[in-house]
Amino acid sequence: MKRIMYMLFIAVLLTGGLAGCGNTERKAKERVKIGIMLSDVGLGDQSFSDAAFAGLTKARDELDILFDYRELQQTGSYEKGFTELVEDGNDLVIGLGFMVLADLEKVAKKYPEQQFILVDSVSELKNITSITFKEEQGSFLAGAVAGMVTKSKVVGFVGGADVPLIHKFKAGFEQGVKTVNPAAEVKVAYSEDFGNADLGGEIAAGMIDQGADVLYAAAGFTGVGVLKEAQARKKFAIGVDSDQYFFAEKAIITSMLKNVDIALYDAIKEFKNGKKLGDRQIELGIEEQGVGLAPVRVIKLSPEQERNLKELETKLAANKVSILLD
Amino acid sequence: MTIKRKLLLNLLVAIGLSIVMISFIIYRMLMIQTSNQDYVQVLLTVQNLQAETSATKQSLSNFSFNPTDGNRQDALAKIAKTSEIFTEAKGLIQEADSRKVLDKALEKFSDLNTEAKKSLDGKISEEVKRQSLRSEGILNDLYLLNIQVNDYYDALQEDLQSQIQFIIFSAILGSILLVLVAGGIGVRLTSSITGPLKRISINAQEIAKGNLKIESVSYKHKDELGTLNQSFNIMAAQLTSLLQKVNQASKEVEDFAEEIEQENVVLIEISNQVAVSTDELSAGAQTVSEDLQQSVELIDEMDKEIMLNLDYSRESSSYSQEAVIAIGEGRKAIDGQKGLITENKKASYSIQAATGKFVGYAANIEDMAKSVAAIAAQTNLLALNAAIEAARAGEAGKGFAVVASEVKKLAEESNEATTQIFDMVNLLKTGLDEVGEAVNKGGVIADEQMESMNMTMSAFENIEAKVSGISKKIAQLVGGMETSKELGAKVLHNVESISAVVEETAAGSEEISASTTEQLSAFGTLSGKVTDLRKLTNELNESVSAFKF
Repeated sequence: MKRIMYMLFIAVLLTGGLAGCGNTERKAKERVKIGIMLSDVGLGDQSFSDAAFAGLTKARDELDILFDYRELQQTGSYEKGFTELVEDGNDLVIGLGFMVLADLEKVAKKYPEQQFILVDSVSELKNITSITFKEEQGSFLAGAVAGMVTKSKVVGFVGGADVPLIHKFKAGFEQGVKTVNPAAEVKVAYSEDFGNADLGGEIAAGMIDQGADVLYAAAGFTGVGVLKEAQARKKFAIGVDSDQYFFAEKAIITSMLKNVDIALYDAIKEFKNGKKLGDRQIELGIEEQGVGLAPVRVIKLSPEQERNLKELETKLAANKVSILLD
Repeated sequence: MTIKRKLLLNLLVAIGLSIVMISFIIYRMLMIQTSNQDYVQVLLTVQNLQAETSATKQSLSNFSFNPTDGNRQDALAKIAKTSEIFTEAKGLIQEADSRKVLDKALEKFSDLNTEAKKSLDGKISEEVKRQSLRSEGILNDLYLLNIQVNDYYDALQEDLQSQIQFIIFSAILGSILLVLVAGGIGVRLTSSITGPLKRISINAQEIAKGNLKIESVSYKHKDELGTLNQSFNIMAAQLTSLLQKVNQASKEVEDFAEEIEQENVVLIEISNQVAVSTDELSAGAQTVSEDLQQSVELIDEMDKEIMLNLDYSRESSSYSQEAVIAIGEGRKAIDGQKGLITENKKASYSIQAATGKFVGYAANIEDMAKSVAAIAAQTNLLALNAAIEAARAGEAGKGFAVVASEVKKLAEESNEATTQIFDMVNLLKTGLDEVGEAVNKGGVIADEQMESMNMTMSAFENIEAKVSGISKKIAQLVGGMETSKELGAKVLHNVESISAVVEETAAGSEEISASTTEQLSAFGTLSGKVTDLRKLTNELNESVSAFKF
């Protein structure tokens, strides 16, 4: 009896000791992990990737999630990047831009249980949630501002590629300009390259030469060249995707905001709160704050212009303005 | 195990467990101290790294907006500083996961470093701006790293907390266990000691009260208590059996005492009877002894008598022979006497005649004497008258008085002389009567003698014959006497033996008597003792009845 009690006592001490030793293993807090495949030039494009990155950073800081990213430069192909992100155990993998669609779908089919988000393009796959923006709405407002600001009644649009997505920018911009300034002409050019600022500058220079005094680019980093050129030629420019004021503080009167950051932040928040994203297709417009305009700087709009702009924005939000897409 | 050793062991176990527990706690404390001591440094370094990377980003951004040499130098300095901290962090961070993240960040930083320097040297603002933005990637990695190291630190802290809690818990648990174990053992031990002790104590109290019907305590350990219990049980059992025996013995003693008392009474009676009998016996023996003594004397005398008789018988024998001769002579003498007796007869007749004459003479004297007596009586009467007349005459009568007295005297003397004569005459008459009678008798006797002579003659003849027979018989008697003498000697001897035995018997009887007396007194004492014994037995019974068994 006595001996049994000794044994028991010692056994308790030993198990206690072992348990104590075992406790030194880390018990990391379970956080939602999100992987993002940055498109094109990746981080520092001061556009789409940076906006997405900012959204993720915000989500990281506010929603206490973790994220990792891949860039094309590292991985060589989008497919490899997506695969790595899936293999790394990210709960949600995000693809940016229509360029990744094919590769994303390939990987999504390979990992049917993995949840993906595709921004800026639409996929029909079950495990891909598509988030698209009504860029035409934002571009419409940008066009309205451009129409109000132009003196030469010639404005320019530089698209990164001649693709339907960019066409949405173009269409919105053209109809916006025409709405406030029916007499204005809209010059359109496609750079076919999203990462070439110099090319952008060249295209911009050409447009300015043709009389354009307000330029709008939807061409990634190429667009930055457009902005810089506009500033260099003392013309006005309108940024795209994010507030690009700081690229050319003397030229950029506003930016067409594609709030990828907000969209992603909201989607991540939803995901984190346990909602299944599924194969929903989310389309974000002015109403959803998916798109909009950055504060107007450099120039000063008249109260009437402001009121007009505000009215247009309200109408767009209420879908009372129909934008014709080609 | 003895109780002393048990108690000692219990104490040692408690102390030993305490030491184990304290050692364990100290060991755990030391473990805590050695772990996570310098991890704060890692945290600081990572935060520093984040800050510096941020600063680098900012300085690059600054340069992109304002590409002055100052901003360039500033950016380069920041990059250098960041690089330095990266190296420092590399030295500090050991955990595999964190290391991986750090390496990733460092790789990106290396790229950034190269690109940024190139851009800075070439003063390509756009590229610098781009690198500034790209540093966000490093910052993201550093954010992850920070989270990891913070998590790790938290884990360490938690671990520390849990270890402290564990120590506290195990100390409390250990203490409780210690108290339980030591207390349990102690309680069990003490109860294992006090329990049986209590029960033994209760039993002892019961026994003290006199109740021996106790349930014996079951205690199997071979220690002092076991010995005590065993001894106690044996004691109780022995006490019970002792009391039972005492009780039984007491009863037996009581019965026995009663029996003894009864027996004693009978015995005393018997003893008394014995005493009486013994006394009687003794007296009888004495008598026997005395009788025997007398018998011996008598036998002795008889022996002597026999001897004498023997002699006499022998003499008788010779006498009888002489007698035969004498008888012959006697016959002759008797014949001579016959003649003498005839002559004697003739003489007797003569005397008878002379005596008759003499009686006549005596009667005459008597007549004369009677006449004198009458004169004397007259004289005396005269003298008396004379005396009375003399007295009347007085002085003149004096002379007469004297004559009167003389006359009286003479009268009295005459009276005496007459009396004497009467006596003499009477005597003569008696004598004469006697002579007459004697002569008559002599005649008768002479006749008878004649007859007797004849008879004697025939008797002598018979005697002669008889004496011859006697002589023969005496000879035979002498033989028998001698035989008697021998037998007498033997008898004497036997009687003496008997006497001795009887004396011894007498002595024995006296001793018996004395013993019986002593025995009687002893019986008296015994009776007293038995009474005492009964008293004691009663007391004992009272005492024993106080017990229940």
